[in-house]
Amino acid sequence: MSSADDPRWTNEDIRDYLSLDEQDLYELIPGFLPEYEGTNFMTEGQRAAGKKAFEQRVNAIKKTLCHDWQLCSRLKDPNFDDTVKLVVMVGDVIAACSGGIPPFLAASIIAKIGIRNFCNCERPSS
Amino acid sequence: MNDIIESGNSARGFIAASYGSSPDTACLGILNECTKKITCRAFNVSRLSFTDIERIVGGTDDKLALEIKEFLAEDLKGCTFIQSIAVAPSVFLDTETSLPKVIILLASFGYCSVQASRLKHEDADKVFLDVEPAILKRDTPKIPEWLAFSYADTIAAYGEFRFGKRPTGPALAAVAALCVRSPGLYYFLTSGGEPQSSQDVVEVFRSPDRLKAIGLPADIAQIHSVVSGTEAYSLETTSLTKFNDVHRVPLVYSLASKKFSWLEPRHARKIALLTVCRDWSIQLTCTSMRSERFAISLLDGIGDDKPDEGEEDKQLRMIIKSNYEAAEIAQTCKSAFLLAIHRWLHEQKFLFNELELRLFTLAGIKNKNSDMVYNPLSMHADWAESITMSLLSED
Repeated sequence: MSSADDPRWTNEDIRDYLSLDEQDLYELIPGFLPEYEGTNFMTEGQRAAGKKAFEQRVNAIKKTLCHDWQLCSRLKDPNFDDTVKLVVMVGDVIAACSGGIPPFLAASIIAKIGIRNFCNCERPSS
Repeated sequence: MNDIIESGNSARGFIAASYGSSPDTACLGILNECTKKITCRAFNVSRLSFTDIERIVGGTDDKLALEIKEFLAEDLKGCTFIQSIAVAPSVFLDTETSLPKVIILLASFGYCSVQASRLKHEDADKVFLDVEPAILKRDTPKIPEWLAFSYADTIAAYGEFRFGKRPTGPALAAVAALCVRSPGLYYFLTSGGEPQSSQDVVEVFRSPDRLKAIGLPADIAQIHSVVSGTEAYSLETTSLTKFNDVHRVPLVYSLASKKFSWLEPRHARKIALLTVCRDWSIQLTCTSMRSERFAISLLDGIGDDKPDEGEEDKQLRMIIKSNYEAAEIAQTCKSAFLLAIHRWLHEQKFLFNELELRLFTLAGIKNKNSDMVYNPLSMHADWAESITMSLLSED
C-alpha cells in the first residue's frame, strides 16, 4: 500500500506536522522505532535520539529522493507549490527507505529543512 | 499547616488573590464548598499604603479594608478549613501594587500565614513572598494555613486547557481557587519538576505487549512514574483508556507543547501531558514532598529498619531521623521540616546520588500519598468547574 493510502495518516496530520518546528518533529520519531521500545526519555534526549535516527537514514533517503527520483528536475511541478501535496509526494517516494520513520513525518522534516537544501538543488537564477 | 489535602472535609473554603486589570487592582476569588458558590471581585486598593496595611493586626477602621474583610467573611460562611493562594508573575512584588497589600490583609484578618520580607530589588521597594512554610516548634500555637503560591501563567494555561479560554482578572482568581482545591493538580502545576515525555506515554501503551511477551497478564493497570524535583508524577491506564491511535500521542503532545509555548518549556509539557491524558483517558496522579501527608508518611516511619536497605539509604534515613528528633517541630509542620532538610541535602550534592528518588522510595511513590491530577473516571465537570466555566464565558 502506498503511504498516501494509509488510512492512519490524513492531510490534517501532515498539516499538524508542518505546524511544528524541525526540532519538534525529531521528538516524534522514537515513538515509532522498535529500537527505542522500553526506553524512557527526557524531552531533550528524545529529540536528540530522533535526530540521530533521522540522520542515520539520510543517505538512503537522499539516494532515493534526490538521485533515483531526480527531485531537482521536478521542482517545476506545480504540486510542489503546495507544501501538503509536496509532503504527500515526497512521503510516497521515500516510503520504502525511511526505515520505520513514518514517511510523511520524514517528508515533513525534509520540507522544514528545505527540499532544495536537502537535495542540494541548484537555485533558480532570478 | 500547609496541608491543602483535608479531603473529605466539606467545610472547605479557598481564597485566591491575583492582580486585576491594572497594578492598582487586586482580584479575590472565593470558592466555598459549604454554600457551593464561587464569588469573584476586583478591588482597587491604590488608596491603601503598604505600610498602613502592615500595621493592621486583626482590627482596622479603614473603609476599604473593612469592605474586603466583610466580603471574605460573607463568602466564606460555614468554612472551617481555609486555604489561600496568591497568583502572581513573580515572588517579588512591588509594594506600590495591589497584590502584596491584599495578601497582607488576608494574613492580618487571619485567613493565612505568610512570611514576607520587604527589600530593595532592582531599585524598587519589593516584598519577597517566602513560598515555603516556616518550621514551627512543638509548643507554637496553631496558625492559619500557609499561603500557597502559583505563577499566574501556569494558572492561566490550565484555565485555557480546561475551559478553552485563557482566564484573566477575576476569572483567573476563580481558576486558581479551583486549582488549589485539588491538591494533586496544585502540586502538579506548581512543581518545578519535569513531567513524562511523549515517549514515556507511548511506553505506558506498549507495556501490556511486553507483559504478554513474558507471560504476565496484560490487562493489569500500567503505572509509569517519574520523580522530578519535589514531586513524582504517575500515569496509570484505567478501564476507559483508549488504546487506539497511539501513534498520534507524540504529535498531540508536541502540538499542545507548542500551543502553550508562551510558558516555560517544562510547564508547557505539563499541559501537553494533561492534554494526552484527557484525549486517551489516562489517569495522572502527583505525589508531593510538599504535602503534609507525604511528610507524615516518611517521618513517622523514619526510625524503622527497612529490610534489604542499602548502606546509602540507611545513612540518609539516619540523617533525617536525627535532625527530625532534634528539631522538635510542631505536629502540623512536618512538610516544612522535610522541605528544609531536602533543600539542605540537595545542596550537599556529594552526599547522596538520586536523593529525590531515595526520599520517594522511603515514603512510597504511588500510594495513599498520591493525589489526583486528572481522573478519566470522573469526566463530568463538578459544580465548581461548571461555575468557573460560566464565569469565563461572561468574562
